[in-house]
Amino acid sequence: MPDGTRFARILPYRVRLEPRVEVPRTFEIQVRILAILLSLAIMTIVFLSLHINPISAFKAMFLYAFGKGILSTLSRAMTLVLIAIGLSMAFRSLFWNIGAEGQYLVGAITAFGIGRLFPNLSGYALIPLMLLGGFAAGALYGQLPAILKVKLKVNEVITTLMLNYIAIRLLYYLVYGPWNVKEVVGGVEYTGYAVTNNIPYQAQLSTVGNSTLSYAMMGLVAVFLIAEYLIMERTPLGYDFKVIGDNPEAARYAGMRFLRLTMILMLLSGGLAGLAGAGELMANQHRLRPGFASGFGFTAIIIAWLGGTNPIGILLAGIFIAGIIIGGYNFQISTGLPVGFVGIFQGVLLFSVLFGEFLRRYKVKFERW
Amino acid sequence: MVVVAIVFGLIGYFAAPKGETKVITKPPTLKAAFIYVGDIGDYGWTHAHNVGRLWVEQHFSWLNTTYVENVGAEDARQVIENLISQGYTVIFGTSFDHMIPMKEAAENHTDIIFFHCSGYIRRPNMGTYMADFYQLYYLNGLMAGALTKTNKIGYVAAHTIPEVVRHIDAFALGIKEVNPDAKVYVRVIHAWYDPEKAQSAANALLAEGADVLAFTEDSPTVLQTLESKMKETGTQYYGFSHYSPMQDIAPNVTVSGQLVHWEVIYADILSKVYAGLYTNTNLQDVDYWGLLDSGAVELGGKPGVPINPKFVNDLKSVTVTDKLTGEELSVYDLVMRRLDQMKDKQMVFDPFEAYNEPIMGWPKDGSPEDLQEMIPVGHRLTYHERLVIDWWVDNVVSVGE
Amino acid sequence: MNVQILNFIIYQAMKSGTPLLLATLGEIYAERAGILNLGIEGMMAFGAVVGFGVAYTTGNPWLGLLLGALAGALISLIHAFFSISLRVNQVVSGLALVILGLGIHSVMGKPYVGQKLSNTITGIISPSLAQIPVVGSIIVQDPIAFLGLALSVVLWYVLFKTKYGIILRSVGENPAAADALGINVYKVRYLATIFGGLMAGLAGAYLSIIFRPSWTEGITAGMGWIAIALTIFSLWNPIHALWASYFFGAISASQYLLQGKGIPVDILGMMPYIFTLVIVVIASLAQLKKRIGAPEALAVPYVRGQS
Repeated sequence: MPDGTRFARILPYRVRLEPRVEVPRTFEIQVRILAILLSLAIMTIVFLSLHINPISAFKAMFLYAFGKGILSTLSRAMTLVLIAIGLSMAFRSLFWNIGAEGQYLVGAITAFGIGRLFPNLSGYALIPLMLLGGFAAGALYGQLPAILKVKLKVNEVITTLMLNYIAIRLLYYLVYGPWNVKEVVGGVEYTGYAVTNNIPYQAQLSTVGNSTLSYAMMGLVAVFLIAEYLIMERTPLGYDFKVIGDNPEAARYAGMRFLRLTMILMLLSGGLAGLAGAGELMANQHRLRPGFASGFGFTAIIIAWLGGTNPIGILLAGIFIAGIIIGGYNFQISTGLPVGFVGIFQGVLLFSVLFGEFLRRYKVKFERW
Repeated sequence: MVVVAIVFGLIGYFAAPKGETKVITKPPTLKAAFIYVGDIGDYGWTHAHNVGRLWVEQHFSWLNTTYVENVGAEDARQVIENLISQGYTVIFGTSFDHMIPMKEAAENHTDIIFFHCSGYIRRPNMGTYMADFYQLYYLNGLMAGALTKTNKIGYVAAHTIPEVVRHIDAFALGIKEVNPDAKVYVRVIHAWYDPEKAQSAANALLAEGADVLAFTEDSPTVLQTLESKMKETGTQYYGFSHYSPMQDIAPNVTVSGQLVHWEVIYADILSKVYAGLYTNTNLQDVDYWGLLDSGAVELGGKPGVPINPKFVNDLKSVTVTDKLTGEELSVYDLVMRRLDQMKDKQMVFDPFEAYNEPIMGWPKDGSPEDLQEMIPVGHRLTYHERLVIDWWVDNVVSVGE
Repeated sequence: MNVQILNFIIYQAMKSGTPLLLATLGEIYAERAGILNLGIEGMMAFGAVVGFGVAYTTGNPWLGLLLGALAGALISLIHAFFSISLRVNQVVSGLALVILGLGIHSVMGKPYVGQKLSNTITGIISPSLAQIPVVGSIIVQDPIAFLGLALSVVLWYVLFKTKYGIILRSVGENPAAADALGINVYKVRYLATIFGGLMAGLAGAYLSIIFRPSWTEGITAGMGWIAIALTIFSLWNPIHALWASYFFGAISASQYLLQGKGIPVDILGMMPYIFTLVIVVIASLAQLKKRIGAPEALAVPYVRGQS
């Protein structure tokens, strides 16, 4: 009986899939590039079928984002990349952390709270304290799903997802309640609005020029990209993560060790998301508001998948995705087309990457019957 | 329309050729950008702003506009930078969330003119504008008080920010004037747009006995819920449309509502910018508050129809005493009278004024038992007092908070 | 607790619970066959826009429901292809489907904004039928809610009492053994995934045609994710899915009854999610004890010749 996929019987050839044994490094990169090209090709077809000029569409999407608007792109990329680093480690160990959104939020909340508690602390102390607090909060928030998964085999997709919703409600409670804005502008006091006060002035991270790209975030990204590489490639911890990822059944038998490893994993993954939340608060938004969770936790998933565990890959993927987002707004300004195309592009891109993963794992052979 | 005439007059004055003396060089076009937090298709807040934008774009030949949708606070700064780099010199931020990014952009680009909707931060190059429905809600309240049979009136609120509190209080004051026994129940759904939550909250209120509903939520769901309930039980329910014309969606239950015309404000702002009256240095105190007198807001669930004809007779059959004059008249006549009074620039009548007796209420973070005098006799709430209003009228007996 | 309140809870439980139920039933079948499809939100969104578009253009809401369901099935094919034939990671494929589905839903929905349907389904409007205590109002109002109820029973029967159900379940528990017995594992998985898409598409179309018959974007509002939780919560059993969905709907609805009594709104708002968490944990405990659980081969691509 022939093996391979069912649909292949339609063709005069049969398709055989042969798992690749060894995958050279360059091939990995080639496959990623192929994925990007494939997604561009599909988008071209989409545009053409809607009578949109693909050249001007792509120009509108990319020229500004990587040209005059590069600082905006990089600024958005920093937050996303930070989350993605944590996610890529988690995914490598097959821990599906869909809760980055919630961890990001509790990080921002904690950082804000610290700023509120110590508004007069010097910037040199306050900034690291707030960032650390953000990291710690995210790390802690990720522990519950980790423990539940190892001890009770509870699916982490659900637990992390529910914790997202809970974190959002917590944010609402704080913004409309105890942390509600109370500020004097032009001699008049304003309160009740859907926002908090500013974080202390000295906690607002300094940025490049007029942009929201902060030096601190760039530094953190650099540090953690290197750290990620070192952990994954040069430490027993990283080796263990990979082992869990490649052989989940065996990992289960490791018992206590599996618990410890998973907790550390989520410490890092949740922590980075929390740190990103603190960073976004301190570099860009400066205040909390009910809608603070803007989907970064989900966008970062795409970046993590596109970039793999390769730090350069994650960085480039992050910049690329950020470019699509910033480009998406430019797309709308220049072409008047809806921003929804950005979502379609991202979805197509992700599927292309998956296709690339497929090609990476299997050699496709066509044979005559 | 008066505004438009003045505007055209101003433009005509400035644009008309003047003998042989100075040539006034004006930029041929003004480029204005509109940043939206939602979708122009939401049939709510953003949609209304876009209608305003389309109006000014069509009527002012010297104006070029663009818009960007779905811009939250996290990307607003980036989008503003982009717009400025493309030559837009007037930027409108239509959501409260745009306030801080806009303020920071304004600090960095002092040559660009910014206008922010629903916020309170101003700068020499950043003004604010808003259209408020409290007068309309007061009028809706008069009708609600007259029509309710159960004396329980419900309100589905998105969030209890001052704007919504003001609307609910105005609604409650209208109800009280006609029907002192009726009580108002508020349920909070914590979302500007969420049909499922709106439906749940509406049904919860109906289950608790309410037969009139008003709401702040960006969809006609509450009205549709009333319409279905009516079809199913045969009882008459009453609802008030919000923001966009919803009467045709639920014609059997929509009594009236609130409508907005952002174009009135946009036309005024843009023509003044074009005429050089507004510059990047004199906006510190420019704050628009669009009310009935300017035409920025309109009573009704459908443009041109202040009260659904189906309910006119019911409203005519209930009598009430005008608290200003002591006269007895039908609720319908009172609504029309108040409408005229509030359209008048003199604003002879204001819902937030205590005429014969003080207005009692309880603080938002307290409980319905802490009744206090909130507006003493003879006092009309100042602009600021109503801007940051944080108390409930005494007939609001239950608030989900 | 008076009758009105009880009626309200039950009515709202069924009304809010029906789209959840439909999507969950579909996902149960997909997961029983071993395919994890996280893309429910995207499939629902696509079904919602196609369903509305068809109902609007043709004036026939039933056609809209049908085509919306088919749209969901169509888009689920992408996930099926990637997961079954290409054997890629099912979690990521599902997530990609969500992003893609929401994007398409946004772009395709633009022309319909603010438009409402002239004909919608309001059921057999007979006030006397509505007097049937408790379920009267919802059944009269909403034939799809009734369908959901009926389908739960039918699908439970098929899954546990028929040959087809056994085939489906064996593919999910032990595909290699099923294959050895001559079952075409790939075909069964494809069909199960497509069925999941069909149900999700129907749920989405229900939202845009019946629940709220005028178009605005984002009508799915996270329900797809809740459906995934409910699939686990219901231990992959259609009958449990029935009361789980209604239970979730009831919890969501009762928060409005509890408002105004001193508990902060947002704490109340957390209730449905905390409940889900708690129940999922309990379900896992039950799994460990009674050995009922997820299909063994869930989310594991089947490759003949490899164990």
